[in-house]
Formats: sequence, structure tokens, C-alpha cells
Amino acid sequence: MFEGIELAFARLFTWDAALGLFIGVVGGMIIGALPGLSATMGIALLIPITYGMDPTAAILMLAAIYTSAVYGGSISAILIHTPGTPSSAATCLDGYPMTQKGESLHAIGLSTTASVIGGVISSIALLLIAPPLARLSLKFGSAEYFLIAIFGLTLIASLAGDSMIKGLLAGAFGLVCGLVGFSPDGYARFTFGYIPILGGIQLIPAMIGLFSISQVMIQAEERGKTSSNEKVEAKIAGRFLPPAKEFVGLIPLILECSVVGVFIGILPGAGGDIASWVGLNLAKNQSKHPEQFGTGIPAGVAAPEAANNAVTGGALIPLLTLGIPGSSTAAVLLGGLTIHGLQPGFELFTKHADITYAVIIGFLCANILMGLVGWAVGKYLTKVSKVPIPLLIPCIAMLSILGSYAASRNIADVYIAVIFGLIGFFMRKYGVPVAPIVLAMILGPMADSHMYQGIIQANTISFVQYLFTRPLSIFFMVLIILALFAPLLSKVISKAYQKKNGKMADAAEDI
Amino acid sequence: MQKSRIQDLVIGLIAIAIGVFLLLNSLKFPDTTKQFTWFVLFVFIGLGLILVITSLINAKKPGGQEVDAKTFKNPLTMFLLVLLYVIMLDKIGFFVASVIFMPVTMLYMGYRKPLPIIFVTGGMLAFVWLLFVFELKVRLPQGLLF
Repeated sequence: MFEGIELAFARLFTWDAALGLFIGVVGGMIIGALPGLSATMGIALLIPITYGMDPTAAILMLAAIYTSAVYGGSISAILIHTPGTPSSAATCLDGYPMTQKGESLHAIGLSTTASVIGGVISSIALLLIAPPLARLSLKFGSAEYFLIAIFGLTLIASLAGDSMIKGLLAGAFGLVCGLVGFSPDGYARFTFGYIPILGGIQLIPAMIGLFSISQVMIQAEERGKTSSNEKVEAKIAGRFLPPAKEFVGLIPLILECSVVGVFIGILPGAGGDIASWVGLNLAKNQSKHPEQFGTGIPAGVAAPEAANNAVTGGALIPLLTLGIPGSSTAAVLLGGLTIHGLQPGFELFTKHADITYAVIIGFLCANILMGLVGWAVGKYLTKVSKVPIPLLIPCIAMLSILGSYAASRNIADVYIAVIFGLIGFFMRKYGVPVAPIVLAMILGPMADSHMYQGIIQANTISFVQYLFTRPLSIFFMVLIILALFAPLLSKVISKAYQKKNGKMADAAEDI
Repeated sequence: MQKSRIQDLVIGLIAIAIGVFLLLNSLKFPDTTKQFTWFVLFVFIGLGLILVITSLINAKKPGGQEVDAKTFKNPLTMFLLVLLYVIMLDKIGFFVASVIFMPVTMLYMGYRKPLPIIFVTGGMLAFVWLLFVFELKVRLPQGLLF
């Protein structure tokens, strides 16, 4: 390993690698900040231009785009309530209210700090724990993947907002959307003869519709009124770096979310989108005032941002060691590795150790550079929120349409985005949260395909019986039960505390 | 019955209608496909039913947000503009459609300063051309004109 690292430094300190790193960081940030353009799409679009590049510089650039786009996505989520990437959807909930309160700079500062910490921790995890964890990941089967998906779905209850039933209904609607297209056994389900949706409803256009186009429609309500952005302009104030006291208070949460993010990144199929919701859920459950989430509080920005950036390094662990992508973006990165003749596996850490370790160390540098660039330009990025709404609306609409088209270059996806925009608008107007739809659309097909494979693997016994025959499955089932009862348990504990504190206060008054 | 409860009732009924329609459609599915499909659809219909029942039980209690359908005029007009833009993309190409859509939308939203309208439209399209067409070689919808 150490010999590999030595050779890696020689590869890393070249103009090509440095340029790849810089373009990756800045380009990723721009791609991420633009609504509708995701890290996955950015990498997919940029892979063809890396053909002529040195493999180290090429892979480093793609990996830097990955982490930087995840961070960049938070900027538009905070400023214009439009998540730049699926990973930053959770950041909208508290980031945008902070902007409305005139604390956009503060929110971006928190997002930058948390993203850097999450990214750096994930890079260290990638460097140190890849080989042993790869062995464990090898033992994952369909039963475990199915349970990971179910674990993710348990989060919907906490995303439900004011009405639990409406939130769950939205989640179920997302699962229904996930059913469209070929089933795992190859049967065309709910396509009604429409060929473009045979492969299913694509997540990117659906998400662009639900979040961006519905937002364009909601902002259209402001037609002819005084631009609310002018109010935002007046309120932009504060400091970029979080105050020391607030930062120290958030550190345990950021670290915890980073570790959770790394773990989620390692789990195949679960990406930054899931991690950010898990992070937010973690922060909510730990908070003494969970009711404040959604009103624009720092923990609501820091937790999902630390978690989603921590996913990036975690997702590279199974990718580089086993060839199993930890997220959809990592899956696209796998294509980039293959193009440059790099096959994931043991050989990557032996024969190509110089390239692999150069990419890993460069990835660590990318996360630090991302923070520096963010700190340097963050205050200028807040200018986005000063643009008058009438000028902003067509730009968001145009980028949304462009983003939904460019993902698969299929005009049918654009219509899907528009339809989901209309659905999202009515749902938001009638108090039905849209975030559970996205979560369920990611996890539904995952649960479906692994359940199908699990049933085949279970052979003579039932699928439920099969789950109990696998120790790792039992571990995940325990996690699911804990996740289901955690909100209830935390309520009981908090009530018990309040009661105890009340009695103590009464006793003190008596004295 | 409170207006917000009527809204919930309608949402629940729509969910049930969609669920039942899809359930009927899934009757011909093979057994292996049915398992997960039916599980999801029963959950969906069940939740719709719960929403209907709770809105009927709490019919007279205030709760949730009341929405005035009159406020939908501008958002729905915006939706039509976006839809027209997408239809135009297919017919006359991305850049020409965007040159029409962006200023029209800005004017519709009540913005009247010509220079920012021209600058933002031109700037955004130049950026898209540089990034997508020039740099990333993405073939955007071309249509009849450009």
C-alpha cells in the first residue's frame, strides 16, 4: 500500500492531474448548482471528453465532479428552493427557509463546511477501510439489498411533514411510479403500450418536474407582485463561516452524519439522496426541538450536507474493490474506469496501484479544494438570489427542460418532467409532500428486483423464512425495527424528560 | 364539512380510483410480477381509504390548508407556457424555441426592462451553447429552423 502511495504522489503532482482536479471541482460545483443537472449526468456527459486524457487526470476529474456536484447542488437548494442534484433535496427543507430569513450566506457556509468535513472523512475511509469492507460487502445478497431498500422506505414516515397519512400516500404514489416499466421478470407493467416508458419512469425528469417545474408554477403566483427576491436581497447578511459556538455544537452531528453517509455510500444502490434524508432524520431525532426543522435551522442544512458528501467516498469503496457501484453516479464512474482500461478489483490496488492511490489521494484534495473554492465564491453565488423572479423563472424552466432532455436525450423524458411538474404543483398546494415520492421511486424498484431474486434464491422455503436464515439480514431487520420505533421512542423519552423536569421545577418552586 | 377536509377526501378518492384502475389492469400480470405490484397497490389504496375515512370522521374539525382554486390561474398559465415551449422544442428546435419562450415568460411575469430581458436570454443561451453544444457535444433538439 505504502509503495503504491509513493508512486501515486508522483502521478498526482503533474499539470494534467492538477488541471483535471481543478476543472472537476469548479465544473462539478457549477453542474451541481444548476437545477436539473446532476452529478450522474455531468459525469456521463463528460466521460467522452476524457478519452484523450491521462487515466489519473481523467478519473480524478470525474471523481472531483462527483463530490463537488453533490456540494454544488446545495447552493441552488438553499437559494432558489430547487435541488441541483437529488442528493440536495433534503437541504431545501431548511436551507431555503434560511434564505427567506436573509441567512443565505450563513446557510451556504454551513453547507460548505459540512460538505468538506463529510467529503474528507469519506476520502479517509476510502483510503483506509476499502479492503476489509470489500470482503464484507461480498457477503451481501438479494435479501440484504431488499432490506436496505425497506430500511430506506421507513424514513418516509419522518418526511411526512404535517400529515403522516399524506406523506405515506405520497411515498406509496412514488412506489406506484416505480412499478411502471419492465418488471424484474421482464413483463411490461403499466406502460399502456407507450414505448418510451418501457424502461420505467426516469428519476431525473420526474425529480426535475416535482421540484423545479412545480416551483416555477408556484413562483408564477407572484406575477405582477413586488419581487420577493428584492426582499431577499435586502436580507442577505451575516457571515459565511458559521460562528464558533454554533460550529462546535454541530460538530458531533456532522461527524455522525459523515460516518452514516460513508456507510450508506458503501451499501450498493443507496446514494447521496438516501443519505441526506437519513442525515436529516438523524438530526431531527436527536434534536430537542424537532418541530423547528423545516423552519430554517442550521442542523437541517449541516446534517444532510455532511451525509451526502460522505457518500461519495463510501460509494467508491465497493466500486474500486468489487466493481459494485455504491450509487447511480458511481455506476457511471464505473464506465469511466472501463474506458481507461481499469478493471475494478484486486488488480486495481496492485497492478494499477499508482493510478488508484493517486485518484484516492486526489479525491481527498478535491474535497479540500471544493471547500476553498466554495469559501472564495460562496458570497458571490448568493447573488443568484438577487435576480428578479420574472427573470429567474424562465431560466429555471429552460434549465429544467434542458436537464430532463440531456439526461437521456429523449423528448419523452421532457414530457414526463412537465407532467410531474403539474402533479408536484397540486401536491404541494394541497399539503402533500413530494420528497417521499422521490425516495420511493429510488427504493421501490430496488426492493422489487431484490425481492424477486430473493424469492428465486429462497427456493423451497418462503422469502420471509429465507430472510431469517441470513445473519446480515437479521441485522438489517433489527435496523428497520429500530428506525420504525425510533421516532415513537424518542417522543416517549422526551415526554418522560419533560415530566421529570416539570416535577423538578415544581419542587424548586416549593422550596 | 370543512373545505380542507373536502380537499383531503378528494385526494383520497383520487388515490383509490388510480389504485383500483391499476389493480384491475394488473389482473393479467404473471404471478411473479403480481406479488410486489399488488403489495404496493394495496398499500396505496389502503392509505387512500384511510385518508377518506379520517376526512369524513373529522369533517367538521378545521385542519390542513385551504386552497382557493382562483389562485391557480397564473401557475396554470405558466404550465401552459412551459408545455408550449416543450412542443416548440420538438418542432422548431431548442434555441429558437428558447428565444421565444424566455422573453415571453419574462414579459408575462410583468418584467418590462428590455435590456435585462435581452441580456439574460442571450447570456443563458450562450452559456448553454458553450457548455452543451460546443464543449459537451450534446445534440439538442434541432427542429426545422436551427
